[in-house]
Amino acid sequence: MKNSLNIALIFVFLLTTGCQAVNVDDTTVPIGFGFEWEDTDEFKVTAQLAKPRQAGEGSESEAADEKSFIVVSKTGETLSMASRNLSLILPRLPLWTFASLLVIGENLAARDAALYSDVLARVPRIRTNIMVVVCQDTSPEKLLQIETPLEPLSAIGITKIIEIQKEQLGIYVPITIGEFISKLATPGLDPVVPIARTAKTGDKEQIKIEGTAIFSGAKMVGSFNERESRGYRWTIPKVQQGGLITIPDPTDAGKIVVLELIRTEAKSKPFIDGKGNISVNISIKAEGNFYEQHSGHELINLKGFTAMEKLAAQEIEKEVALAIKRSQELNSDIFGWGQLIYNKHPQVWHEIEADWYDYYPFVNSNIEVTFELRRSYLTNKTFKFR
Amino acid sequence: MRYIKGQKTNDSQPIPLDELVEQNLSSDLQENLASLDRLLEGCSDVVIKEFEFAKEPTIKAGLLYFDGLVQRSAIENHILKPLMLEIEKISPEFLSIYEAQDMLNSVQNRILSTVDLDTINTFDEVCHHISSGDTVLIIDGYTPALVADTRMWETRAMETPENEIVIFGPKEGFTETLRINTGALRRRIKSTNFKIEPFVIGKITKTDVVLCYINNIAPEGLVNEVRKRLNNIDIDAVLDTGYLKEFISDNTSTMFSEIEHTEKPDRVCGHLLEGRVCIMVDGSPMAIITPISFPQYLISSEDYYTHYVPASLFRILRAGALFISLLLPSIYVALITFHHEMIPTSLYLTILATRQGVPFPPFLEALMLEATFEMLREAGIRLPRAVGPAVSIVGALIIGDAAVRAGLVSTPMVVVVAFTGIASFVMPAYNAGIIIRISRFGFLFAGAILGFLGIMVALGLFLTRMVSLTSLGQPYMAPIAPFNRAQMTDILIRRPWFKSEKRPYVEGMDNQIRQNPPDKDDGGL
Repeated sequence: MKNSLNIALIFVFLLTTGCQAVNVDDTTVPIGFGFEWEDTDEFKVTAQLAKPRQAGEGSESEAADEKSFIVVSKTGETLSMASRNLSLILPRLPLWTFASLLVIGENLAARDAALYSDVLARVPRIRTNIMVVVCQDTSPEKLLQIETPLEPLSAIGITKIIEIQKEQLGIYVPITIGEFISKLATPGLDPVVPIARTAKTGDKEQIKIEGTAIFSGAKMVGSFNERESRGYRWTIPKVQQGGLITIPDPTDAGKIVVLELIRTEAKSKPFIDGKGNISVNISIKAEGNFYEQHSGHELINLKGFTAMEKLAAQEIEKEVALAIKRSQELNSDIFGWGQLIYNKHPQVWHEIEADWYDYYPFVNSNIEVTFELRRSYLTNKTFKFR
Repeated sequence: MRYIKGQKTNDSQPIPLDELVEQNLSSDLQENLASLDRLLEGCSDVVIKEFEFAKEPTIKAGLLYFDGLVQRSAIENHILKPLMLEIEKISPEFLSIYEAQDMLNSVQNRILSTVDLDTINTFDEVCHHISSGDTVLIIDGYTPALVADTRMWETRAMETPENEIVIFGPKEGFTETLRINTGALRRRIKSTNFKIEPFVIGKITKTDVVLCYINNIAPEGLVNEVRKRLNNIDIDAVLDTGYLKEFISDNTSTMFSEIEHTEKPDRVCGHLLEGRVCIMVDGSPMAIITPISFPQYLISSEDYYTHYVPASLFRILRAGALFISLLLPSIYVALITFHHEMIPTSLYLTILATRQGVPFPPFLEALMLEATFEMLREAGIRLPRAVGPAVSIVGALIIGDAAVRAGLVSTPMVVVVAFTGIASFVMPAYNAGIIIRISRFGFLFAGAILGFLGIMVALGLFLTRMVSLTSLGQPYMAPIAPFNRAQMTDILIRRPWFKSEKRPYVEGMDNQIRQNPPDKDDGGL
C-alpha cells in the first residue's frame, strides 16, 4: 500500500513536470538578437548564433578570417512569429536564454515600444538582465554581422565595450531589458539607451558605441551626443564610478588638464513655488584624481587644486545643462523629474500627469556641483624639463 | 529422538558422536583415548602421545594437541620434561601420595611449568581446546584433564593497513590473531576499566569474539544490548567481523553502513574513549565499531593528530566531496538535458561542440562511463599486481582518450565521471562510500528523467531514509538530525583538544566529561 502510493506519487511528478528534455545537439546559442521594423510592415528578428567551438582547437586549423558566429534573420507579423519563423531555416532550437544583448533597430524604436515591450516583459526565455542597445544608421542584421576585435562573438563584444567604457571613460550608461521596460512603464521617467553604430576604418567595418537614444513615452525621439550623454550620467542618483573629465588648465588657458573621476552622485529635488512654477535642484557631488597635464606649471598646490576643482565643477555643470536643454527640446523626461514630483508632491503630480510633457520643457533647473580633487598618483610635482 | 531411544535399549551399539562429545572424561585413559580417536578420526594433524611418568608405580598419561597450532618446544620443556625427567627432583615422599585429587594437584601446581593451566571435564572441551592450540594432558586414573596454553602459530606481523593509509599518527594495523589485536588495544588504554569480554560464536568454527568497551564511559544500556545481540547469534561459522555486522545492525535491510570498520588500533581506541563499543573476531584484522552516525564517516583518525584548523577544513572538504560524488553526474545530466540556461554561455558552447556527433543521450553516456569506472575500480581491487599497470593503461588510454576521439563519449562527461570518481575516494570510510556509489546511479536516473526536480525528489527520499535509520538506538544522522547543538562538538569542526571538555555524545551516555576546563584563575602566561 505504502509502496504503491510512493510509485503513484512518482508518476504524478513525472506527468506534471514542466521540464522538457532537449537534446544538447539540437540546440544553438543565440548570443545576441535584434528586433527591427521592416519597410514591408513586418518585424524582423535577427539572431547571432555562436558556432560550437572546441577549446584549444580552431585558431590554427580554421581560416583566420572565418567568423565564429553566423547571423540569421526572419520576418514575421509579430516578434514571436518572426522568431519562430526562424525554425523554417534553422535546423536547431535557439536557446534564447543564452542571449546577452538585445539590439533594437532604429525604425522599431522610433515607431512604438508597445510593439516589442510586451514580448520582452512576458516571454520567459528572454532574460531581463541582458543589455539593450539601439542601432542607428544601420539595421540589427547588419550590425550583428560585424565582428568586434579580439572578442569572437560581437554581441558579447558590444556588451563588454559598454561595460568597460563605463569604468574607463564614463560616457554611456548601460541599461538592461529589465530596467528598460520598467522605465517605459514608469510615469515621469523615460529610458535612455546607448546607441551602436557601424563605422568604416579603412575597408573594414567596425562597431562603435556613439550617442544615446532618447525615448519619450513609447517612442525614440532623438539622440544625445557624447557630451550630452556624459551630462546625463552626472545626474544619475546612483553612485557612478570611473571616467575621465577634461578641463582647461587654470594656469594656461590654451592647455588642458585631465581629471580622473572616482565617484559621482547626484541628488535632485523638485520645488513648486506659489505661482506653480516647477523647478528642480540638482546637486552633484563628485570626487576625482589629478591624472594628466600638459603645461609645465605647478598645479599640485592648494591654489591649483582649488582652481581645478572649480573648473571641473563648471565643466560638469555645463555638460548637465546641455543634457537638460536637449532633453527639454526633445521633450523626454530622462531624468525622472516626473517621478521626483510624484514622490514629493503626489497631489500636484496627479493634476499634471496627463499633460506632463507640456510642462516638462518649462521646468527650471538649478545645478550645483561640488568637485573634490583627491590624489595625484605617483608624483606630487609637475614634471619639469631641466 | 527415535535414535536415542534405540540407543538406550541396545547397549552394544556405540554412543553416537554428538552425544559422546557431551560426555565427561572417564578416569580410564584408554577409554578416553579410544573415544577421542573416534572423535578425531580423519584429523591427520592431531598428535596423541602416550607416555609414562613417575616411579613405583608409573602413571600412564596421554598428551593431545594439533600440530601447527602449538609451540612444540613449550610442550617439550614445560610439560614432558618436568613430568618425565625433573619429577625425580621432587621429594619422593610427596610422590608416594596416591590420592587422586592430590596427584592431579601436584602435577598442576608443582610440576608443570606452563603459565596458563586449567582443568577440563568434557570431550567437547578437550576438542575445543586442542583446536585452539592448547595441549591437553590426560592422566590415567584421574579426572579432570589438564589443559595448558601452548598456542603458537605463524602469523602476519603488524603492518600498516593498506586500506587506511594515514600520514600522521600510528601506522600499526590489526592482524588476524585476536590476542595480538587486543594486546594492541590494551597497550594504548592502560586502564582496568577497559574491558575485553570474550564470546564464542559459530557452532562449527567456535570462533573467539571479543567485545571491547570502557566500563565507565560506554553507556551500560549499549553494552548490554550488544552483548544480548551477540549472545543471540546462532550461526555455524564466523570467518570475519563482517558476519557479525548484520546481526548487530538495527536495520538489516539498508545498505547504509551503521557500523564502522577499521584496521587501526588507534582508531578503535579513539572510538572506545568516546563511549562506543568495538567487536573483534579471531581471524580477522577488521574491528567493527558501533554505534556510528553518518556524519562520523567524514572523520579520519588523522584529524585528531593534526592541527585543528586544517583538520576542520579537511572535514569540510570531505563533506563537499561527498556531495560531489553523490550528485555531480546527475546534476550534469540534468543540466544538459533540462536546464541549459543554467550553464555559463562559453561552457555551454564548449559542451555543444564536444557533444557534436556523440551518438548517445547524456544519461546513457553517463551511465556507461560510470559503469565502466565502477568496473575498473572493482577490477583494480582484484588485479594481480603484475597486470595492474596494464589495466590502468587500458582504462586511461582506451576509455579516457580513444573513446573521446572516436566520438563515443564527450570530454566533459569523462571529466565529470573522473572527478566524481576522485571525490568518492575522499571519504575516509570505504564501507560508507559504497552506498554513495550505488545511490549515485539512482540520482543519475532521477536527474535524467525529471531534471533538478527529480534530483530533489531523490535527495528527499535519500535523506528521509537516512534520518529514519538508527544505529544501536542512536539516530543515524545525529547530531545533525535530530539537530542538537550541544552535541555538535565534533562533526564538521574539530575542536581543539584543549577546548574539548566533553566527549561527543553517544545515546545513553552519562559520563561526558573528558577533561576539566582549564583553571581560569591560573591566568598569566
